[in-house]
Amino acid sequence: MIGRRLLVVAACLVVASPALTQTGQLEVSDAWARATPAKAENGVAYLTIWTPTPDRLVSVSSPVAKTAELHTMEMAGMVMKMRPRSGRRAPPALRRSAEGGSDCVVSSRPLSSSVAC
Amino acid sequence: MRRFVPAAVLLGGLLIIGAGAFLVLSLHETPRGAAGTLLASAIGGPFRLVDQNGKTVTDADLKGKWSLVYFGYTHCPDACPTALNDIAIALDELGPQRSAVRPVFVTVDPERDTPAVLKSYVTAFDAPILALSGTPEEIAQAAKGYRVYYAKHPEAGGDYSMDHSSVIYVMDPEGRFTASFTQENSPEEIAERLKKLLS
Repeated sequence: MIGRRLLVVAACLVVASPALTQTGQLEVSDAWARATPAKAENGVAYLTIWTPTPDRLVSVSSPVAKTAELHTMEMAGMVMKMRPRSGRRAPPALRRSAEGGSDCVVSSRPLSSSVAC
Repeated sequence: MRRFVPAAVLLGGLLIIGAGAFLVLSLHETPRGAAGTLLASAIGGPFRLVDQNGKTVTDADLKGKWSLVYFGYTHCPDACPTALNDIAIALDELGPQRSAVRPVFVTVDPERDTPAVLKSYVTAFDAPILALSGTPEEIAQAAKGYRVYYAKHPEAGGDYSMDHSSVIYVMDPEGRFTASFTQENSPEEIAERLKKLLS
């Protein structure tokens, strides 16, 4: 449950209603977006990409956000760190491209917030 | 004399490990009694900041109520809204006792988080959050008091993110550090703990 007045902007380009979306040989799973406060500039969403062969995620975009960027999120001890990430190489053979689920995409307003990795 | 050196090193090492374990454990458990007194004086301290309405707020103004103090920034997409949401949910679970607890959000990004920005941001949460900003020096002093680490991390295009400690500090009505929560604690756990502290 989220605070009653928290307007959830679930504006994620990959809010796939089925838990798993399959396009050809590429699989995207576990896509979810953090509830974004109505007035926040940034939002975040996470997803896992599975590829049968070595591949590379070259860019991300969202129709609902001004910009979408790939970042990693890391909680080092009690310190939260966010780092830009470009061209994440997906390991072969259906292994998680976002190990530990720590990659994500952050994007900025207006239009709303968002997304992914 | 030389044979005492290894023993001294060992003893020193044990003391350091012991002190470290004490600090780590104390951060997760309510420190009471002598140990608590030590930590209570180690976290908190004087500050002078400005709230979302432009009013000056000092550490003295926090007294009289329990405070849940969290340092973050509004461009933070994950840890900060999660912490503030967790606080809002925990307060809901407190029922009538919620009025005894004041959530406090202190920005570590005063450059972007002006009082006006903070005001707009905290209205999204179902909790009466006291949102504090200040000059970089004032924020630094407050963060130092609460042992909060933060650092600006520049990104392309002039943008930046902030690395920051993500901890909810529980301060008692006298302004003494009492307990802390991290992202590992669920809102239910936070509420449960607060109920005990308030009773």
